[in-house]
Amino acid sequence: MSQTADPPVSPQAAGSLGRTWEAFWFTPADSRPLAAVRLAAGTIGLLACGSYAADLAGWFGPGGLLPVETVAAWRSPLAFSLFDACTSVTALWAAFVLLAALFGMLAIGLLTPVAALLAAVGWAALLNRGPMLAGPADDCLAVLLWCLVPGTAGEHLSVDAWLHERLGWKVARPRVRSRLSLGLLQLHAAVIAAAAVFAQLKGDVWWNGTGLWWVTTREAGRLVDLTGPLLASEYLCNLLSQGIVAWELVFAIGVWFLPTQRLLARLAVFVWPLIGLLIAEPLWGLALASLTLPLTGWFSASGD
Amino acid sequence: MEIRGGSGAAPTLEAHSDAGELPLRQTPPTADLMMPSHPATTRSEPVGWAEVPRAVATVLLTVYLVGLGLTVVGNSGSGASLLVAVIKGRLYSPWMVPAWLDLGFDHPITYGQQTDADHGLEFRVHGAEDWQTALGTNTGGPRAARWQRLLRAVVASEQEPGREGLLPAGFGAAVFAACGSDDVDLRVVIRPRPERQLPLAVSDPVVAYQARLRQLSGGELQLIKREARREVAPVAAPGGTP
Repeated sequence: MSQTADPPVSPQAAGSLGRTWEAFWFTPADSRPLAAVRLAAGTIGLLACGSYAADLAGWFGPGGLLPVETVAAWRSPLAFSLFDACTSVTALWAAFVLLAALFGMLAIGLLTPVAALLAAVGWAALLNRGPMLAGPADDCLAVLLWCLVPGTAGEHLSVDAWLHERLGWKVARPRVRSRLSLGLLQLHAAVIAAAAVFAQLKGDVWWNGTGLWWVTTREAGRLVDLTGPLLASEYLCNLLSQGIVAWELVFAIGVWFLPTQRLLARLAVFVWPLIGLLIAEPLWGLALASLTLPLTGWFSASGD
Repeated sequence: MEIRGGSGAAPTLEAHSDAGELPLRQTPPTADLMMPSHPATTRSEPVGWAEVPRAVATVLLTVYLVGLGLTVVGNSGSGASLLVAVIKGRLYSPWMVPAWLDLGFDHPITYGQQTDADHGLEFRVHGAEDWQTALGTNTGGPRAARWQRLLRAVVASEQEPGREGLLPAGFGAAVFAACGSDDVDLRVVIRPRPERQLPLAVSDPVVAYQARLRQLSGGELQLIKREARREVAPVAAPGGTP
């Protein structure tokens, strides 16, 4: 007896899924938005390097607080760092300055494909040298850098573009590689926001509206002191705390849908840095805003 | 509802080619393309990928997306199933950890607990009265945030098997040099934060970790952790009087 069972996925659904996948990842895209992200990533990288500079030798140098043996025993056995090999202060500073120079090259778009790859490798190496020092902004910057690697972020607003124009080498055009980069940026922007929501909802303070209070009363690293207004108004405290969670949730979902995508992305360019300022993680806010830059439409070829 | 990609999307695909990046639409050569002295323009035709590169990219993307899902689930502070941990550890961590991609993005900002409060590092020559504060802990901005993470890691490591005492022992050489002695005390203090309903007041710091660190004559480092005294019930003597 022969039986004809329904296929687990209908051909229409599979075809639709396949077309959506193809359109999302493989439609050639203009690289102007990537140039904006590249500029932001290079600048954030320089700022992040600045937060290491004052303590570099005090942490990682000979006789520093974090000797290589201690860190190697503390971190994952799978991790390694090129900075482990820097056993003198001179070598350590040379490697660090090289990394900062790579971020500078990325920002101005000089030898962009090489600079993007080496900056991502170098940043991962610095973080693996002291994993206990790394925070949310460092994670987001690492993702931002790796997302830029496959794309052609140097085709616009860059020294590369200027040189290519002068020499008549390469035509800037929509490419699949750029689309892959843009897709990865969008995906990570949503994943990071969603993961932050899930992490916050595990704690009572984000439900009862006191989350921002506990952040504001931390003095170390604080950029804005809101203790006065938050103490004066319980409603303001609740509004801001729960507003942060609500924003992350709305952003993580809304960024995938046509009617809300552009509006949310444009809001995100201002809201993420503002949240970063409130929670004393300014680079985290800037990195998240950078991830959403391509979705704003401000840098598209048509200018719409 | 339509799911939408980024704004950099170019016109839709109209044809596929079999080899590498080839023009998808045949158009008459434009002046820009014919004159290499003016090449930098986005008015050139978009190029798509052939079947094989797209298939390879699809496989790579799928592998990465599965890894991304596993790292988000596997790095959650709530823990994850053993299966997730094993799959992630065996297949993904070996290449994601060195690239700093084994991330859960588990950033709660705060849970309002003591572990989130401001930490400070203090040290002194063993037996001395006054404590010195480590310089970096009093700074502001992202630099201070790194110090806070380091000190939180010192305290949190005491609860993690295999990591107890590792970081304080590593501080040895730096603290010996700062104190000018081979026998020092160091401690991590936490400054409690006020409840929102209570008036702002500076509370006394709580010692979260304290240890004596000394270098023995053979160069060996000795770490003697100071344990908090716990209240115990009085031992009852056989005669009935304690």
